[in-house]
Amino acid sequence: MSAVSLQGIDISYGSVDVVRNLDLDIRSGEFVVFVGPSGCGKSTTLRLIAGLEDGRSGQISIGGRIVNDVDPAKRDVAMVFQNYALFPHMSVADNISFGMRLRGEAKEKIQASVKDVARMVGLQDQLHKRPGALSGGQRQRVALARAIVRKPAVFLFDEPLSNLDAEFRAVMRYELSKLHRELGSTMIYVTHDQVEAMTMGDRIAVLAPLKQAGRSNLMQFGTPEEVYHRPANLFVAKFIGSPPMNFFDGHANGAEVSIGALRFPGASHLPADLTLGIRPEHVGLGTGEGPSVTGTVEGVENLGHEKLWFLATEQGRVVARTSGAVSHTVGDRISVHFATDKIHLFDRETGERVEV
Amino acid sequence: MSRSASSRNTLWPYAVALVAVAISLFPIYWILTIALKNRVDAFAMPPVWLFSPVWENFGKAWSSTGFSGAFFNSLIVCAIGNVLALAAGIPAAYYLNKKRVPGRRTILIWLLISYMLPEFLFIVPMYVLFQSVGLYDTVIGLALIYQVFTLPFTIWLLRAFFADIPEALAEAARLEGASTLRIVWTIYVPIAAPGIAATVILNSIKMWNELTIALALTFEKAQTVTLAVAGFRGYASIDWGAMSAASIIIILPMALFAILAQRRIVQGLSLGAVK
Repeated sequence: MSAVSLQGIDISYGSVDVVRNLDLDIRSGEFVVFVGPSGCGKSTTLRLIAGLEDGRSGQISIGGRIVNDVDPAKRDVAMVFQNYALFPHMSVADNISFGMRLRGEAKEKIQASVKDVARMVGLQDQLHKRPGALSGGQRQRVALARAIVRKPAVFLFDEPLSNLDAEFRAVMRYELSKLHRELGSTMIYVTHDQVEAMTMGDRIAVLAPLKQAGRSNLMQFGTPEEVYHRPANLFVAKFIGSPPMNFFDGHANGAEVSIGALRFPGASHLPADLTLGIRPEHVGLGTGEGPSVTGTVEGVENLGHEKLWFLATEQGRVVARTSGAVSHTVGDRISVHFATDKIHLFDRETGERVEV
Repeated sequence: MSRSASSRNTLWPYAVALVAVAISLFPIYWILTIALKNRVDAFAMPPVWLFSPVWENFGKAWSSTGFSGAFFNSLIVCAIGNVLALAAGIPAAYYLNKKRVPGRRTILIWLLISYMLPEFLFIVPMYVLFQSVGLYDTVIGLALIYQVFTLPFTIWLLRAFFADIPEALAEAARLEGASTLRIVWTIYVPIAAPGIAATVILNSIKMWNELTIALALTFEKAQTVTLAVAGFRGYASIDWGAMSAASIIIILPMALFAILAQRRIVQGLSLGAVK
């Protein structure tokens, strides 16, 4: 039984369609990430699962139960909002216990639960403080604690790390993943950051805005390895990976695929017009195997452990990723070669992945 | 910038502010001196600047027929008027903040128009109605008719304060199981408390100083302080000393209220100024 199931979901605001034909099955205990650019409907879909959105058709199930018309409080979900949504006039303890007090639970039980959860998120000494006296990271932990104390079937996270600085974001990514392992709960996490998506998700749902999508916003739903190494279409290939994949316009001629003078293995069933993609880490500099061209080094970004090279070639601009030991100078003309077994082919008309 | 130019830049605003304060406060100072002087000194020309204060005008004003009753009537009318305005205004402001309320724009425009209408428009029709339902010359009747301006004002002001409260708070409360009433009472009202306080203060000042409607719709039992002060004017003479003392007495509550709550007023009125 799926923890969360979306079937045929359409969401519109007035005459504007935001989500169309969305089908998703999320397994119990899974950490699923919804990732995509602004306007792709990821937060809208999350809010739909929470029961905070109207204007939709389709079916939503949580724990096998259809919840289309069920009140948000009765869906057994808890949500952590982007801006935390803490009640500024209440203490940390009161924020965490808000729902329990509403439900009229016993004082002793409330106190014990609040203490336990506060200890879990490292806030046991902050219970008397108000959100205004806390740092951004501490406020986020309060929001997390408020969700945890409900013991929901599904946790919903709406870009919870986007307001934190980069250093703390990395810490919280690890802590959220650890929390997922400890609790074993189903978690649905929305982000526009593909690093969060790749590092945290068991599976990633890559969503696109409808004007770029087509039949459905859902471009691919797979493991991080699948979306990275076997992107289902051009949108996923362009979105996932930093720096992005290199793309070239190519043509299929029987058993070959050509990009200018370059030749790659092809097949007769391939469409005539193709887009070839190759990730920067599969582009080699200097001598090596595979088809090659000569390129001019236009720039380099030295990240210490690796370098990103920006090269101008006859086929267009190419970005290559090498180890930090590789050394060239801006203006150098060097050989740029491509690993043929790492090429991705896409039908230029439909954008869909094709296999040799 | 040179030091002298910088000093001039600092001095000018202070000088202008001093002049503005002097102009605003001088009439009150003058009334206070008339209340504290005897009859001869009060209107002496040139004015008597150094004098021994006399307090009998205050005693005379307070004990004059109907004055203390009118004072408490005004307090009660302000209290009831604010309770009625908030009881209806808070839920109205909450709902009118939601984008999907049908007719929202029309309602808001209607509220604005009713706030801008002159008060005497209501007097004739309400006089007849109040007489027939027994609300004429009652404090509750007065508090009800004052809703004509306090309620739209309350809704407009509170709507702005509520708009500054992120909707995510209401959504978070809803996910926890809070009803709409609980959300308004436990989330919106406490957060908007400075704004509510500012609204109460401004409504109170308006109701306290109101004369036209009180003159038309009260007679004796529900007479307010503004009418009581006017009552010191006799057919042949005016008891300036007692009238001045009465004026000072009626200024005091609102002045004290404003002084004690001025931080709340500024806080409330600037709530939406900076995100």
